[in-house]
Amino acid sequence: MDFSIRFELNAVFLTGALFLACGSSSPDIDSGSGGTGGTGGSGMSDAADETPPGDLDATSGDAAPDRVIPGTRDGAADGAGDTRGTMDASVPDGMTPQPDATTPRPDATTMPDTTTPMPDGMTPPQDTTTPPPGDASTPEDLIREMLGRLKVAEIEAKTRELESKSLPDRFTKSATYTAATEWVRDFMAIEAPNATARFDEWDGYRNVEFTIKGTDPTAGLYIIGGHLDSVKNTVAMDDDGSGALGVALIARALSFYRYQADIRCVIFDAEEGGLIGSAHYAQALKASGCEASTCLKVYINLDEIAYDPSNRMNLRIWSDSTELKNLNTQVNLTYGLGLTLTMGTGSCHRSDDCSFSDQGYTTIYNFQTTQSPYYHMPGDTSDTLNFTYLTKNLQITAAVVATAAVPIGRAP
Amino acid sequence: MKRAGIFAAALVLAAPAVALANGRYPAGSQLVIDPTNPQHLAVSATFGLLESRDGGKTFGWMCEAAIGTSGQQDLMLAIAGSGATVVAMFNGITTTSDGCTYRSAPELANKTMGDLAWSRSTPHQLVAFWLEFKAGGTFGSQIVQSSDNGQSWSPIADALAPELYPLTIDVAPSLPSRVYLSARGDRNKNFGSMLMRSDDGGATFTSADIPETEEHRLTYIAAVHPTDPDRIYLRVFDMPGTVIQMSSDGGRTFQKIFTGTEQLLGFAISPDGTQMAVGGPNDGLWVGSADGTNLARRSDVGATCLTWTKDALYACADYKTAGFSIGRSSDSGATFEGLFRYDELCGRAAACGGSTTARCSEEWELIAPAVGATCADAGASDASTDASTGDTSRDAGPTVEAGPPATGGMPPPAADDSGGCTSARSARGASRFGPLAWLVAVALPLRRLFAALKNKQRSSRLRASREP
Repeated sequence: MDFSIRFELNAVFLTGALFLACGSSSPDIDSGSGGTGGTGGSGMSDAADETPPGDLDATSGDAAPDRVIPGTRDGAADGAGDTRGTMDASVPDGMTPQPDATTPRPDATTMPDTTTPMPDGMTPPQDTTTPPPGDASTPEDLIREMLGRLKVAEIEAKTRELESKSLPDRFTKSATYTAATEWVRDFMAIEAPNATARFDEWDGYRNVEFTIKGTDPTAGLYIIGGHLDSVKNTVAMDDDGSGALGVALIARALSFYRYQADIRCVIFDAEEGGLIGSAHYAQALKASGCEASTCLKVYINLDEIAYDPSNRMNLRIWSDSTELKNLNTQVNLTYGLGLTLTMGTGSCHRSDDCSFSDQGYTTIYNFQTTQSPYYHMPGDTSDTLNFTYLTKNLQITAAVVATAAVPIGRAP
Repeated sequence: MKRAGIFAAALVLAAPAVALANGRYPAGSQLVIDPTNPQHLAVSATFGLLESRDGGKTFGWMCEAAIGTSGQQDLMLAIAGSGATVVAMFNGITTTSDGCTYRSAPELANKTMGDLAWSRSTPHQLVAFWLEFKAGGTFGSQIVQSSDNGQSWSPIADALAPELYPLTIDVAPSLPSRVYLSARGDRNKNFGSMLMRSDDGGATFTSADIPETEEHRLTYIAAVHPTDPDRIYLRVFDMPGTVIQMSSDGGRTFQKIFTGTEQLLGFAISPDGTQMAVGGPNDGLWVGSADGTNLARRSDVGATCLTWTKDALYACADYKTAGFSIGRSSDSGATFEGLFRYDELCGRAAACGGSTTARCSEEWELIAPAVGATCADAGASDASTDASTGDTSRDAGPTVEAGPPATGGMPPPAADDSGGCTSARSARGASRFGPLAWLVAVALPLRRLFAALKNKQRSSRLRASREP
């Protein structure tokens, strides 16, 4: 499987990173001490957000002086005249994924320097620890920096802002659902100008897609998804405001960097109505010729990832891919996220992962290990969420995708 | 997400958090017995309503579309003194007297009902509450009552305080004026739970904080003692397992009497008030004195509901492990006689006729493989052919009655018509399965269909499993 290549390829750098994490004085990612309850932060990112944070304190937007890296840019300034963050009106049919990303890609197993047979048809890893010309940062540096953009206080603030727009619910096709999709698009246009936004609309449904275009057409595609719709009479901040908003915030963090592979972060509609949004998307993706072997390497599903009142910091990861589970484990260690990972099997757990596995794609499903008693209840509010836990879960997801997609530098 | 699906994966994982969905689908979450007719049983299942009118020998299935539920929660049930089955949902309260025709209470239309209760001594009187989320983390909620077997409802008092998140309500069996309400407090209470007691039927309350419930450890009323209105049992949603607390002084003080390894979904007190039973999918069944002492594991049955009558202790369970879906014990839980298994259901029977038979047929296409039902189409009509009415529509509009029960064109079932594989009593109902019908039409893979089927409300299940 092509992802194995990607995994092996990154294993080398991760192994090195592991040494760094354990043996160096590099600060760990600090997700802060948010926990449940409380307010904090503003609804919009501040100036510090636009500067790649040099340290790893997720609670701080300040860049440590000794970590300022050449190439740092002010994303807000660059994005002021950039229309990539706005909706792509040129797409004639909003129902289909963007053609450029759905074109089947050449089989990446034909990578160079294959001199030693690898298990399961894998190709030997490339040396990705060497940064591309003009950028002295290693992939690990970039990922660590990227993770610093996912801050507890800001995630909490954004979550509460979404909640304020969700009354009485975000039921599919409702005015509040529609408004929520527009709100996400709009703040992303300002805060993540390098992510191309698109509404995927059909029959009154609407998915929201953010794309970070890769540099290597053969490197494949990675998708992260969550659903923004809710059942009725609940603001549904855990199910799945946590995942849906998290998808956007991951896209924002990722968008400040360049990767070999394409990355898409997709907010789905009508999961509660029967996985309608994701099914539509996955079917269109497959119909466009995007094959599991050469195109979509993995779909990562985020659904209910913020309920952890006891601070267990335990994340369940369902996947049939041992490589992907191992990658999660390694990323968790490398970046000092401090999560306890509970691994499980299966590619369909009655969430949007099913839509992708139905099409033959490899999936991961990240899910909280503490059941929320507020599930589908009016009490599923921001007050019940553990924002430190949510932040860590977003960080591990972002790190896995970034590692697999291979960061090659900061966005211009 | 669809909770139903976690079940399968949880079984595979067998990790501590499997209680999340153990038995989630298919499963029963509440079993109630008619206070005036012990032959009449009703079970809230994750896939609809089951009713028996022959003491549990046979059950008929009513699909959610026909009941009119929004389908995103487990039903909360009561059987009123008239024999009417009262169903509280996230979109109001509906009642049925014949198992076919459902009448929704218009005054509660689209209200998210939180809980439903009644007293054994006055079963024609019921109480319930609705709730909604307000801006700023506050809630709107109000207790309502019915004095006519659930047909009509009116507020008992003004809305509850906005900082309260009501969870469960119950009435003391021996003192109908004694009403208990459990609720979660707000940030000022560190999201701890409190028990509120009323001695005037729910008009006014006094409250006390329940210890060790802070940080969203929600507390559900498990039972009020049948003869002592001051003794109340609570289930605290805690990690890793449910904690049973008891108050013997009307909610002034509390004591822990049992802690499960995971969630405890079943709780019951014997009618004479001497014994208690508690259990869950991973804890087996424990029975002891009603004062919380001498609790001992009596069997391995992983109960998802418990109900104790003078005749027997009833339990819901996963038939794949317990051998039954609904069982009955005559020796206080030591052994169980299986009454019914879900795979014995024949959901497409056309007992009620009409277009809702077609609606239930749609659901049955999904439910049958999930519950393992293999029976032939026991009297069911396909959507295209209802011989009794000539109705060929799958798309009839919402027809749950609001107001007086409809009688025309709906032959009521015989009193004992639920025998064998026969009794899906369809009623006219609003379908929440518009998308589902589409899914069926395009024949998506079965697991997709399952995923589309169930959005179940977990905490209502926690609330609902209680002594009736």
